[in-house]
Amino acid sequence: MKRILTALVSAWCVCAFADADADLRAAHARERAGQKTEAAAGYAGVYANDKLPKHQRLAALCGLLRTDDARRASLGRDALKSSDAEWSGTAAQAIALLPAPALDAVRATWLKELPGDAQVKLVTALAHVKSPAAKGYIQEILKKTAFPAVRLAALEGLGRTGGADDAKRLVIWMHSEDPEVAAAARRGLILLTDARANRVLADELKNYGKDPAFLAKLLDVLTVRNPLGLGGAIAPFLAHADAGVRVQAYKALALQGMAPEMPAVLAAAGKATDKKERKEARRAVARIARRMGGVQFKARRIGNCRTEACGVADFNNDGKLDVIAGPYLYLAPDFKARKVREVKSDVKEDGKGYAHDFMNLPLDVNADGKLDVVSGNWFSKETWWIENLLPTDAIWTQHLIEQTGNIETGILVDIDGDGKATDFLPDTQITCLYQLGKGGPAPFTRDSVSNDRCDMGRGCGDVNGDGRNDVLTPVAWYEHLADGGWKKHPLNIGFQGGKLGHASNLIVFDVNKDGLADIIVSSAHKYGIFWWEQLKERDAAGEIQFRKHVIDDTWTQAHYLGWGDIDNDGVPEIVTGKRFMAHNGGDPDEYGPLGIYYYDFTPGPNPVFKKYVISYDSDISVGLNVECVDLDGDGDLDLVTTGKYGGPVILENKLK
Amino acid sequence: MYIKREISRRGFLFQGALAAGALATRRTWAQAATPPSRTITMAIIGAGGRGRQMLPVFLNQPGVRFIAACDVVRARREWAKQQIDAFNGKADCAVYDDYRELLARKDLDALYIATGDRWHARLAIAAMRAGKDVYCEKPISLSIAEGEAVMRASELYQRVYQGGVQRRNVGNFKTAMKLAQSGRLGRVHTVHAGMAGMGRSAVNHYLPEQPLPPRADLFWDMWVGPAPMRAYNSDYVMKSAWHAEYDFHGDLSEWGSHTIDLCQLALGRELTAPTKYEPIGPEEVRAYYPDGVKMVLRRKFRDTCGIRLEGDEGWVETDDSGSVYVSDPLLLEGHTIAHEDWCRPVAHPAEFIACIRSRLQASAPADSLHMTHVACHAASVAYHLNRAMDFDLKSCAFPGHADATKLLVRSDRAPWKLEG
Repeated sequence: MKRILTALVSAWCVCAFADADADLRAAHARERAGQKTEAAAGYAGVYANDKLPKHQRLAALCGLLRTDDARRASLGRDALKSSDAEWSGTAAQAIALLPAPALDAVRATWLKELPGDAQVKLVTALAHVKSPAAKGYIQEILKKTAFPAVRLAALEGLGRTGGADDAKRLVIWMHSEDPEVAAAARRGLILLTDARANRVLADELKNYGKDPAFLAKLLDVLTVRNPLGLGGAIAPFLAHADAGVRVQAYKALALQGMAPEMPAVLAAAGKATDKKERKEARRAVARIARRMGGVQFKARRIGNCRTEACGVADFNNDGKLDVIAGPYLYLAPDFKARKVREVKSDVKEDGKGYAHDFMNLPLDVNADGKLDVVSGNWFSKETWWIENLLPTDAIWTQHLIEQTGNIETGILVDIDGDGKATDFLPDTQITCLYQLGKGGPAPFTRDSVSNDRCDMGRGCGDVNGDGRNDVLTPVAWYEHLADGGWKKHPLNIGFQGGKLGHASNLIVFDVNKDGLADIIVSSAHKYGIFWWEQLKERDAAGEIQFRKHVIDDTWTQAHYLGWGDIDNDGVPEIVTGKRFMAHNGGDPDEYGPLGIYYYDFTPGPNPVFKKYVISYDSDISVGLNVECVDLDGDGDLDLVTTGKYGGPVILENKLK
Repeated sequence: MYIKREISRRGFLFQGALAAGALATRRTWAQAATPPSRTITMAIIGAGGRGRQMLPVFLNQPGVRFIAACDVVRARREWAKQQIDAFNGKADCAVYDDYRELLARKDLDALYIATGDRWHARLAIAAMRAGKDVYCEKPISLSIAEGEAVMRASELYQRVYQGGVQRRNVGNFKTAMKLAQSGRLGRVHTVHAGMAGMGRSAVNHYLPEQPLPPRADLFWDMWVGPAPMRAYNSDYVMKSAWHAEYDFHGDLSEWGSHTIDLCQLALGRELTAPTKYEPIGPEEVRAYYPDGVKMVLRRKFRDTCGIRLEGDEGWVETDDSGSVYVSDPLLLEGHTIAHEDWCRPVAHPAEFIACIRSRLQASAPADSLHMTHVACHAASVAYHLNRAMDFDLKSCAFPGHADATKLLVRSDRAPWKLEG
């Protein structure tokens, strides 16, 4: 009997279920046909039958919420208050999907009548749905709710559903003293999908200059949102008085900064003293440098010796380029240091002091088929040639060339125009040249170009276009005459604020492609890398005139200008860096961050020099010279340099 | 057109965090608002190739317990039972060959549907009618009528429906879509969607008849379902030969349900579809939106399920290899691509389970997927006819091409009629 009754009840349930389903579908069909009242009536029948399974009554409830305008407010309120999670959750989701007129009508009622947890549920569902109606409701809740939890949910909800015009509102909320509210507003700001919100945020930065803590938070939000292209709006904050703001600005620019921001980043980074700030600055410079698309280099230390000049040549005739610096020879391919001479040195860990080695010019002096090294330095006041004794392990023999007086450095030049740079031009107080193999008992013949004393800085090139290489100093150029003699001309550059002073090597090159040789030079210890444009018009005395152009005057100690086509564009670039501890701390910005840079330009009228960062604040730099050579034979020019930071350093060009 | 709604799909996973984060500080309300972690009971319908891949994923979802397996092939439902029993440590998993008996169970909360394409829509509707939440594999429909019926049932029954377009929740695809949506590519003017064997199921191939296995081993009539009845051959069932049969398969919807879906999502156009379809040879169909934005359906990509999104200021391309290719590395600057297995994804099912608890809509509900499938079906017809045609979204027909419109209608064989 019991079994029959159970079967009857089940059958009746199944029938009831089937009937209710038919009613639901009928009501839904009416709803879709626009017959709201009839639909509502159909749903109401199913809803009212509490013997039906929950899911059918729920479906009916949702139908009523959609169609029964009169009862929507009360039905919704009761459903949202239900302790049955499925009931309240389903109702919330259905409500969130209601169109604007329906939602607007019940807004006021529910704001008054719903308890906090029900409102949170509603807000959560609304945030899930991106409709203008939902957003409008969330904005209203945010304004009017008395419940903190609801406010938090609404703030995040505003982030999910809002647009750019909500960004400002969220920024104001982020200012709240309540940390939970501030955090929720921050989350909302991060969630805003409208890309225009980034511009709004960037503009907001200007309003909080006097509130560094908040400014840093805003910058952080911009960093997380990572919009790209707003570097210009962030860069000014690198100069803010507050370190926290500056650190945030560096972090944001690491992600977003592009070429236009690099000068500001470098300028600010140069002033950073705090360790954390320097780290972020360094990172920002490195990331922007990568993004700028310049030639990338991979740095590799092959030694830890604190000397300042290096030479690159094949010293053991194995077809591979080796490096010599200070007392050591580094033979390719493993570049292991082997001692070949004694070099006096008192250089300390902080870079102060000097190694008595300021020049390493590879030259086969004794014509034995092996490259020797021409060397000299300030303190010994002599130039030597150091005899290559490979393959033996003997210490190389040092032969005196001359007691020249203080030597700053020197370069190999081709003065006789035979295409071979086998003469050397020492950077000493007088101007003279040493020519190899001109005859006579000594291997070198000195050619005194001038006994006039002048600042350091020497160059060699054809200034007047007569086909013969002339010799240059920072104050004069010496015309190489047809009979081998020298005629002194002043270097008229109308230098502002006095003379250039101690200069780097001078490079002769037609920068503006007008057929006249120009000069590229820098201040060796102070600010400024320049090119001096040779003018067509001569002065009253018939002398060549030059007009000064500044390439970069934002950093100091560009002691040497390397010159090589490192990007394979057919035109050489200037490669240079900040010499480390040149004057034991006495020079301008001597303690500033080290860096290696290159300047790329296209010869032509009004040339623009674009600056790229090769290395920054990474304990390496250019000492007294940098050699641009294809060290690994892969078709691009690598860089070799050394300095009192401990080297030599090979920078492998990653172009190829 | 059906009800137009804009629904946020963004990071449903945040939703859980939202609920937890917003409520964690107000315990009294949290207890009432967040449902306790009651066990969710599930069953699998269709334990063939795909079902076997995904069953372990669902089994391993925390708070989920499988109580039944349903398949018209006995060997398959018994295999599934074996897996489930081993996992549960108890031999109490029920087996069914008739889904109607399964759906009558009051103790069943949710279903994972992994049958052949022809059954997806009807099973999903029946399940929702019975009050169950549904994770249904793609494609969600074999015809436009089916898709509309699923949407109607979705709206009426208010159950959680998660379409099996798991790539919406896979890291590299999310990255590509995000790039397009962020504006960093400029105005996105062309999207490319990778297709599997185009034309593979353009016609029916009718394999030779084989003796029908006993009813207990295979319920052939139900297996065929709403498709036209045909002679049995075991390859249809056991070797997935149904993929090459027009009656059982949607052709371009094979990957289109994923790739066209991702492209439309990237464009913010998941609630619409292209209105012009132009076949270009055997390996390409070009589709156009009214404003000229172009969608290219093509075979050739580096890997499976490729998509490519092209804008005025850049492009992004990705596929199942997980790699993201960009016109400029800057586009990915500062961006971490989360990695997820597209084949056995966890995020998409996990989201489904979370939605069962919260009752909030999942990230791939029926109405979000329907129009993508309309595009798949329309493109398939244009491709099969090798004819360029306009398509009207309101009437879901090809104006001036009655024969093509007719091809959009699919078999609805009794007793497996679509009532929806």
